[in-house]
Amino acid sequence: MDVSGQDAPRSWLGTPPPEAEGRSSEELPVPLWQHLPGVLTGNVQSFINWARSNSIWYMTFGIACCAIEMMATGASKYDFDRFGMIPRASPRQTDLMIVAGTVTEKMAPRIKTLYEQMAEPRWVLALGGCASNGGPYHEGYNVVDGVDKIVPVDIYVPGCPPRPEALLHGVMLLQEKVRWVQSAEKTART
Amino acid sequence: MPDDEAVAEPTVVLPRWMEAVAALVPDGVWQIASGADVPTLVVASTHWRGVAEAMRDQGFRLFVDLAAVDHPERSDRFDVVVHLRDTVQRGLARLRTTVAEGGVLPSLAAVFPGAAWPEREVFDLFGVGFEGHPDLRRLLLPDDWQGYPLRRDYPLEGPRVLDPESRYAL
Repeated sequence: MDVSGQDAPRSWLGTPPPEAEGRSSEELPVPLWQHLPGVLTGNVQSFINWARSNSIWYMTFGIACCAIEMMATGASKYDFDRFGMIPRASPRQTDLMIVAGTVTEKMAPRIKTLYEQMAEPRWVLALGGCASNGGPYHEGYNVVDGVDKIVPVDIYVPGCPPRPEALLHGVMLLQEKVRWVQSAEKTART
Repeated sequence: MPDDEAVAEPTVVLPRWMEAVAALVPDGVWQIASGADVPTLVVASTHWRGVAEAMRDQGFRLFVDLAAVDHPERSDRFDVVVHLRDTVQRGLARLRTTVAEGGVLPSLAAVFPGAAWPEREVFDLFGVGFEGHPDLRRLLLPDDWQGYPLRRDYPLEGPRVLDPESRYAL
């Protein structure tokens, strides 16, 4: 479609103001939205947030049985792809870390390293009871009582393990958070 | 069942390999038992590797697992148990020995290479040493971990109780 406004039909240009009679269309004080149909105005931040919320790439990072539910959610029946979520094997390329399982003391430094390797802005979703607060292994000798002891967590999804619907709900809550919380604040917080 | 009917004692038929192994390592086998489920040899810890080699030469070529049991009331505190399988005759065998706290067993990693990691795990969680092991480090816990968690006297909460200054104390 030609959107320059010169050769467009008059029908969507609107009625020229009365004092503009007799002048050419380039000189008319027509607002931008009249020249470019389908244009929405807004600020850049909300546009970026909208784009980010619909392309949350997550890390393929399963550390216990909740990873099975994460795989099921990523597979065709529940289909993470319809949220624009693609699994990435490198933390450099991911926006979201789904901590799917029990965090042991030996794994904790690795998780912190992976989190620090992710580019900002980054989000963390604690999937299941173990990642939320230790779950059935709460206060076990080798279990970190929740991944929020080592990295900041945005969304907690309870369950042992949570069903894929619960994980999808958590992801939709995270999308809300990405859309309505300014990413600059998120960057400053971490 | 009538009382006068004699109940025949089940005759225990020990597998032939048990006598053969006991003959091969005469000092090493302390006891031959049919066991509740699996034929068991109780082995002197000094002949641990020799009995394992004899078992391997008798056909038990498949190493199944190695584990330990803690009996804190005994002077020889730990039982170390090995299960072996004969894939041709389809038999399962168990070897058992005892180690004192701080004691050392000969490593079976030279006889069965698959025993290396189970021995690391037993070292990690029980503190039993294995002499001649190629790489005896902790397997499951961090390298700077204090204590051996599967011992009976280890507190359930672990380093949070043992040492509040530890970096694992949350």
